[in-house]
This record gives sequence, C-alpha cells and structure tokens, in this order.
Amino acid sequence: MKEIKVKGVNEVVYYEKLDNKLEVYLYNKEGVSNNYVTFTTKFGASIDNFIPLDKKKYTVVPKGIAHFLEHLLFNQEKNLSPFDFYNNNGAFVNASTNLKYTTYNFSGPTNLEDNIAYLLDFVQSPYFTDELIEKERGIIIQEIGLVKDSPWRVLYEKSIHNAFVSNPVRNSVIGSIKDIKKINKEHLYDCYNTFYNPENMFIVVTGNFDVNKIMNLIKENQAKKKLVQGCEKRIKKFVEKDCVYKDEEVIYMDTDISKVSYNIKLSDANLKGYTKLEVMLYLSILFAILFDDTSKFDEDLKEKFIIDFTTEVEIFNTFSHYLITIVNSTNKSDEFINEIRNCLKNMVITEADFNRKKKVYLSLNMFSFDDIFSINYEIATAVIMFDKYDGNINQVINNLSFEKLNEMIKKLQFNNVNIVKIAKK
Amino acid sequence: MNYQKYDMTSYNLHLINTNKFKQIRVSVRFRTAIKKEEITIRNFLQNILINSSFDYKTTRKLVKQSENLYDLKVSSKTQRVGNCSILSFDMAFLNEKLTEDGMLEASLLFFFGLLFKPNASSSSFDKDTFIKVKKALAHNIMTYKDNKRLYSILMMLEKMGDLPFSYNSYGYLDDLNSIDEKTLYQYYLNVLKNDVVDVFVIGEFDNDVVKNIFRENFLLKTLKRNEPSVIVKGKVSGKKVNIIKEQVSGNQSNLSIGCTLSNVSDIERKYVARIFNEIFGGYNSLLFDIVREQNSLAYSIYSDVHVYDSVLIIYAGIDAANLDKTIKLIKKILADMEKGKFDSKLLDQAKMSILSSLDSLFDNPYSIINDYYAKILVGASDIDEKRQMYNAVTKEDVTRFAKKVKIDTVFLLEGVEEDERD
Repeated sequence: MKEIKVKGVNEVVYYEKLDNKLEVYLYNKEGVSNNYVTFTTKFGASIDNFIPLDKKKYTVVPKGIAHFLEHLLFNQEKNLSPFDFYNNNGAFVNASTNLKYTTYNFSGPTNLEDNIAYLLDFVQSPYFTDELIEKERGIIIQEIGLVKDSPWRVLYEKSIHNAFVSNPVRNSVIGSIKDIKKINKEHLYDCYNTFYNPENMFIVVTGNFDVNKIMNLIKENQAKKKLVQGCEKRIKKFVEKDCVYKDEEVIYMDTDISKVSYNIKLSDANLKGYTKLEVMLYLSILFAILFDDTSKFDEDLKEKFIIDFTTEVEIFNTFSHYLITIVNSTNKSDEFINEIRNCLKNMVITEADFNRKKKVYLSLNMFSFDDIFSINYEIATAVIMFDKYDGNINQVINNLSFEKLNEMIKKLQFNNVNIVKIAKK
Repeated sequence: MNYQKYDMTSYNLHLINTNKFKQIRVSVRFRTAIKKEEITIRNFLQNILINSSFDYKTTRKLVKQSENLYDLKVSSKTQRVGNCSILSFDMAFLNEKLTEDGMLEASLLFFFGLLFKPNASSSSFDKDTFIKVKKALAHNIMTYKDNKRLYSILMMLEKMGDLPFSYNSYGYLDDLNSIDEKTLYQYYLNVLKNDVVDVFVIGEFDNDVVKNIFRENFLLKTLKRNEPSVIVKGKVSGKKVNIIKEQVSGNQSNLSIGCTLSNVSDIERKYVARIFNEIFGGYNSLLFDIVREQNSLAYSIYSDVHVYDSVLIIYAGIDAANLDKTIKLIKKILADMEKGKFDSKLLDQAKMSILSSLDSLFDNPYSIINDYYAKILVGASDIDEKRQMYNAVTKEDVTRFAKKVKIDTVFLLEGVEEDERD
C-alpha cells in the first residue's frame, strides 16, 4: 500500500494497484460518521468503435450503450436488488454515466465492509437476459423524453456535438430512440467484457474506517473472483479537425428565457510546452478573469440588462482539442455574442487578477478535504483526466506563473467557434 | 469537541473548538418574533447586506476581496421556526495555518464590515444597490408560483388559517413596493437594536484570540430584552374538512392536505412526531408504499411535520380524477395507524434512519452549529439523550400520536390541458 502525501494540506491518501490491476484509493477522515464509495469504469458515451476483448475486428456499438449498461447492472440474478440491499443497510445507492466514465456509488454510516463487498459484487456480476434488456429499453426510452425537455441539457450536448467532427465525444450520452432500439445482447457483452474489467476500473473510499482492513477486504474480494483480465484497449483512432462541425444552430423549445452557448475549439498542437493539467488551470483562470462575477464583462452586461445572472464557463478536454463553453440565458443573444467577441479581442488581465485566482484554486483544493463527497470527487476526477491522483495539485498551482500564462495567450487562436441557441418557441 | 459560551452583554458568543475541519465557520443569528408585515423587509435586509458594503461598494469589488482572502464564502438566510424568525449571516474561511498569517483577523474584520458598515449613508442604503436587490426579490416573489408543488402547499396553508405557517417566506409584492431605501435602513437599525443575537464560531483556533477580535470589532452595543417564544398556539380543527380546488394549466395535479395536531406533549414534539412522520410519509413509508407502489395513485407523495406550528402537511402529485380515491386511502392509512394496524418493522426502520442521520450531523460545521442553536431555541437535548429517547419510542406512543392528527384542509391545484397544446 502506497502513501500519497497530499501537499499543502497535511493529508494522506492510500493507494494500491491490485494483482488484477484494479486501482484502489482510500482516504480516512477522523471524526466523521459517513462513508462514500465510488466504483468507476473509464467507459462512457465517447467510446463507440473498438475491438471487443475476444474478437479481432472493430465493432461499432449504438450510442447510449454505456448508460444502458448502467441500468442493466442494477438487475441481479439471485440476490437482493441494490436498492433493497442498501436500504436495509442504512445506505443510499446511485449511479451515473457521462462521456468519459460510468460510476456506481453508495453512501452510509454503517456496514461499510458489507456495502463495499456488495458494490464490487453487483457491478462485477452481469446478468443480461432478453426480458431485462427489453424492460430497460422501455424505461430508457421514457427517460429520453425527459432529457429532450430540458433546455440546459440539450444546449450542452449540442454544443459539444457541433464542435467536433470525428471525435465520439459528440455522441449523446443517453442516445436517441433509434439507437436504443438497435442495442442487442452481443453489443452489451462486448462493451461489458472489454471495459468492465479491473484494469480499466478503480474504486475510491472516503470516510471513517480502518485503512488496512478495507484494503484487505477489497483484495480478498477480488482475489476470489476469476475476472476477465484486461488487455490493451483497442479503440478506433480518429483524426479530429481543428474546424467545427456546425457554426451555428438554433433549437426552439419551451423555455422562459432563451439560452446561448459560445464555444471555442482549441487545438493542443500549439500547447505542447504545457502539461494537460497546466493547460486546464491556465485556461480556467483566464476565462474566470474574463467572464465570472469579478469581471468587467459581468458588471457591464448586467448594467446594460443584457444578462441577469453570471456567465458560466466550462473547459472540456479531449485527446487533441480543448473546448471552452461560455453559457448564459438571455433574450439578447446577438448582443451577448458581440460582447464576448469584443472581450476576447481586447483581453485585459492583470497580475493581481492572476494571483488572486491562484488563491481561489488553492482554496478549492483545501476546502474539499472537509467533505467526504468532495474529496472522493477530486480523486476520481484526477484519475479519469490524468490517469492518476498524485496529491501534487497544490504545488502545481503554486508554480503557475503570470509570464507563462501570457506566453500561452499569444499561442491561442479563437477562430474556431460554434454557437448554439435555445430559443423560445 | 470543546464548547464555551461567553456572555458579551449584547450578544452571546459560542466558541466550538475542533480540529476536524480545515475551515473556520462563523454564524451570526438574529432572532425575533415573526410578523407577517416584516417578512419582505427582512428578506430585503438579508440580501442587501451581502450584496456590497461601505468598503466594497459593488458586488464585483466584494467578490474580488473575498477571493483575496482565499475565497472566503459568505451567505445569508432567513428561516421561520414556529413563532420565531431567524435571520442568519454565515462566513466560512480556511484556517490561516494553511494559507497566510493574519487571515483569521482579516477574514473576521471583512465579515464584520458587511454587517456593521453597510453600503449606506447615515440614514439610507445606496440607491443603486437598493434597486438591484429589489428587482431580484420581485423576481423571486413572482416566480415561486412556477413551482406548482410549493404553490399548492402555500395556497392550502393560507386557506387553513392566518397563522405563521401560512406566511409566504418569499414575501409579498405590495409590501415590497412600499419599501424605500430609508425605511429599509431604519429597519436595519431596529434589527441591530432589538433582535436577540447569538454568534457561533467553529474550527481550530485560540478562544482568547477570537474573543478579543470580537470584543474590539463586533459593534453590537444595545441591550436586548424580549426573548420570543417558539411554540405557536395550534389551530383547533372544526368538524368539517375544508376542500378547495383551483385550476392551472399543466398535466399533473398537485394535492396538498393540511392536518392539525392537538395537545402535543413535549416528548411527542421532540421525538414521537418525527418517528410518526417517517412511518406515515417518509422515505419508505406507508403513504409511499400504499398510495404510490400498491395503488399507482401518485407519482410522488410524502408528509412533513412542523411541531412548533402543530401542523402536518401531506403532498401528492396525482391525476385530478383520483382525488376522492386518494383522500379516502390516506384517511384509511391514518385510521389504521390510530388502531396500531401497521408493521412494527416500520418503527424499527424509522428509528434506524433517524439515528443514522443523527450521527452524520457532526460531519460538517454547519449542522454542528445548528445542533447547538437548537439547544438554545427549543431546548433540544444532547445527542446521547436524543438517541436514548428515540429508541424508547414505542408503538403505543405512535398510535397515541396518530389520534392527535386531524385532516383540516384539502387543496387541489388541478392541472388542466390547454386547447393549443401540441
């Protein structure tokens, strides 16, 4: 078991990669009563073309299959269903799927060992019958209806869809009704066997527990099983263009105020001197200075009644490109977009702004240790984005420099833009 | 965890020492008797004081400074407990041993500035700020109706009686329009002068250091007198149940039922009521199981008990056509509980669920503060005694309590489809 010293906060996260390649991260917080455990596979909606584990040719699977699998795994052959089991054990169970991963989790103050064992067991016991597949197909088709009615959800998915040409991140997470109808048992087992193997998965336990006991419990649970050993993931490669798929799109929906996203696609070809983490941090800091509630942009646009709420910015990263989504609700979308363009053309950032934002990021890291859900999320996110959690974020933030940010800005080109509007019917 | 209370004459300072957290949290709580005509102006004060201040005259400047202090977090809230209106201002910041020397004092002084040096002249709040905050409040008052569930519950409570439980916590548009920046400032001075104030600080710090910073900078000078009592004298239900219907466009109908509780004892108020509510209308309750799972009459259904108002609220999202069937079924469930006709297993599950949640109270600074405040406000007991008392609740206690629950008012917000819907 390895000790990862988390810099700046005097904390330790324990780590071990098991014999079957499953990665385990444990964080013990004295004095809390609750525990939170997440068990995650690095398989999400952005993988749809791969060579299944025991096959030789590339297979294309229908969209929405990662989410479909998530639903299916809650059906158990023999034992109690996860909902009943966790309810009886004083815990809450949940799961979610997005573009990059599928995660299964529970939280509860008691019965930690049984709860962890059950979590590993139910996710690692696939039971896909024709009847269950049809049942979940019906439920998911209903869920698609709900998602289609949510303006923000539609906005975010369309923003990414129209930004990318070949990268499967442009897939919808839930899929369309047509996609869901195409999913069959063979697709499901191909995905499950290839991506739900220990080498592609990790478990994070945060709460109040004996670290040695829990690590041993997980080890013993995994050693007992003859799980399919992973091999190199063979995912279809693609080349993503720098240009966007579709410049502008308007979607009419039932909504009180129209919503807009202004999305900037950046190639990482110009950003080779920086690590991925550094790029994410510098971009987040830059766009926070430009658009958040400390910005001139925010103050001016609120004064002119173009926006009522602060603009949200998200930085999304893929293998070869970054996407910056700038989002707000406004009935004056053209003015809003013009203001964004002006702001980007005449960027003004000071060293004082930069240093202040460094403090904000340091603070975020420290505050997260006061909440077992936040620290679990920080660890899991680092593993998904950078393949490991190393406890060095504090140091990386401290080493960011205003000079390096300015150098980066010189290399950035904001020409590849797509705009999505959700307008009132 | 170490607790010390200091009488600072015009307020009580409660210092809770623990090294469990990386943050220090401060909560300043103003308490007064609820008055319907003051709800709106109190909301206004709650919002305007953290919008900007004398030293940071715009929200932008204020947020920048809070970022400079390692992103300290400021929030405010008003809540009603029975007859009391509690206005609180909270701040959380990182322990300075993680950030920089001097942050403890700088953070506290920044926070005190919001409370005691507002963005105002000697007699009125800054006009621009006033207008901005007024607009946001008006928006909240006008749009709460979009939440059909909340709207149906409030309408039902208003029909039930002109008591604190029926007051709209968002405020009233007429009242809002009659407030100006001068009357708001007068109200601010009144609050400082007359409300009972308790201040809580939790985290890792030296008590004497913190006490001195407060002594020198927390500028509350006047003496307080009246301590408002929490318990509201409950409504006595008549023989007939009052049934009201209103129509609104939409697919689903929202059913809200108000029940009175009569002659509730102290033990029932503190322990039995909550256990009853878990069994009757909580997470895996009789309402959920029978009305939703077995009879498919409601998509969502739950109950909420408000012991200081002597009121219990039942809410269900239903199809209007099933109104009579649903009410009949709910009445039967209640009648069965009065007769003790329910599985004892439900009592055990309710206890387990409540005891679990008691433990997790100590996981975050905010709920620890609330726990101490409850001792002051309603004489709540220590966690060990609470555990004992919840465990001691018997099936007989629950059936006895069920007999005190009487359906008083039924309100149906009926969803009606418009002709133009596609």
